[in-house]
Amino acid sequence: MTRKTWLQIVAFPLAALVLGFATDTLFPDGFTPDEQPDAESEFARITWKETEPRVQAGEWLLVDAREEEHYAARHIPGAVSLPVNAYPEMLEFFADEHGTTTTVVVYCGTEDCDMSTELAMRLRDEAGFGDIRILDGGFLAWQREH
Amino acid sequence: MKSATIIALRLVLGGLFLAAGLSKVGAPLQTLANIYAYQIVIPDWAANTVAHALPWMEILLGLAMIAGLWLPVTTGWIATMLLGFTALTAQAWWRELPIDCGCVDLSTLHPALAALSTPGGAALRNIVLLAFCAALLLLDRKKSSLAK
Repeated sequence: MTRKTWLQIVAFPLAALVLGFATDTLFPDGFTPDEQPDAESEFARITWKETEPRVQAGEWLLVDAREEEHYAARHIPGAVSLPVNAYPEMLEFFADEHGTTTTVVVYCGTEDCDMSTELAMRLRDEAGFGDIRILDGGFLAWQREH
Repeated sequence: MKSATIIALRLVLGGLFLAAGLSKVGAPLQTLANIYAYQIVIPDWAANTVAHALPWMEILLGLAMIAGLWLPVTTGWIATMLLGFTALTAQAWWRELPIDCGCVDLSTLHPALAALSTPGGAALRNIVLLAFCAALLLLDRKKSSLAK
């Protein structure tokens, strides 16, 4: 293959990567209606200050949406692990164990991570949880304070 | 006749890729959800990168295919992506995952085409599109060699 062909081959993924991340930077809320903005706004954000007493009292359930290795390395005390890509059977088990009327607060790594929203959508749509909130700032915000 | 067939194949492949890309662009969260729905082992950073780049890759390839730009390379990329999509959808079908393919919903054209948005249907559809790619490469090569 000629050098020109190689350049053509590389041009497509390179341009797609640049455009993909540039779009995300310029339009952080997305620009396809009825998808990302709605999904984000459906879940209330809540601070750790508001969450901590309710979790400690056992009233609310704190859920870590990150991968199990990250949870095992360090997690917010009282949190249970439920990775965002958990099998549907795991979600069912989770719902049976905790009850779908429980208030769930989900967090992932940082303020901008998508895993908490994604898991919140799965908990609502696949497991039937009714009250789901997202921890503002995620694990990083909690880590900064501790 | 060959030129007309080449143009028709280019329009079908390019149009489908362009439509697929446009339906995903600007919604990386939804694309990410579709990737995770396939339940494959993939690191988060890789899933995130794919979710951002995939729509634009499909749009660029769709436009290039319609315009007939860098045809062998464009067709090669489309075929490579179709192979990947086929593997993904086929494993979802094999594992009986209750998901749609996360691809263009052809039921908007006709309700009878809804089956082509299930994992098994999408795998079959991709195989047909792969055959289109092979035909396009073959016809284009013959046309180029005749022109020389």
